[in-house]
Amino acid sequence: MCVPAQVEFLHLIRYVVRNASKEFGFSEEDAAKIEMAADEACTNVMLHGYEDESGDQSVYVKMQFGADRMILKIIDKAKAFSPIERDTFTLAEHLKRGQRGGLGIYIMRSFMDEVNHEYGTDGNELELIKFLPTSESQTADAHP
Amino acid sequence: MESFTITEEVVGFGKGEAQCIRVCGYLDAGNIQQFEVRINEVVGDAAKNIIVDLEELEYINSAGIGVLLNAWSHLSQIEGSLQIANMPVSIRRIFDVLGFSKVITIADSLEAALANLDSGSVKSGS
Repeated sequence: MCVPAQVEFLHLIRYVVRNASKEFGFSEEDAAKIEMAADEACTNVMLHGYEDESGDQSVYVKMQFGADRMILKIIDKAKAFSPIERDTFTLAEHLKRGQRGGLGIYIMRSFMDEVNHEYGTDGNELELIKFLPTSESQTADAHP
Repeated sequence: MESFTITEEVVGFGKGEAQCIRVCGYLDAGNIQQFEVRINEVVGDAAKNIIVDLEELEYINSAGIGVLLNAWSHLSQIEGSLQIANMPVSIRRIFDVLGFSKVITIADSLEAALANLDSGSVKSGS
């Protein structure tokens, strides 16, 4: 999927990602987490990636489905920017700072199993990976 | 159609009186500034009790959660309070996983939130 880097398209991205996640086999709860991680990643690009730039201002959302995982790739052609290199913090530290922003990467890291960033000829590529729950982990969740 | 709407009303009375803010629709980067302005207007600088009713909220992003956390933090500092009521299950799970429900009081219903005010069992930042 390729959309203009405008926040008006976030609703569409969330709809597609949430429904694809459910169709692939994730629970409602996990689909909501993947949806939110995708929203946060795309929001970063739309609000901060293309500042003062001209040319192709698009966000590419690629979804790959493996046997045990969903790989979501958020690609943009803006300047190199890796959200995962930002400082990590705890919730208590965030509250102390009193800032509204900054929770996006905390959410991506909390909700996805892997978050990777690469900057290459195609631009920024943020990879978000979520593994399908195994039957063992589902049993453990049901009987903690 | 508006992506979100906010309505306000006073609920309860006496010690248990609160300003109830009902948020419907979805909150993302496209409308979060409008949401923040409205919330800050309602919160103001006077100590007051606020209940945010999210029964008809479909989605909230991190910035929206940040707005609620900041309002809660501000009200806690001036001896007011902020609770969330009627949170949809999908949003509640996100608050639980991220640890926000340990910080902000989340009530199952408006009545439960008002009962919390009566009994003084609302979480504060102090």
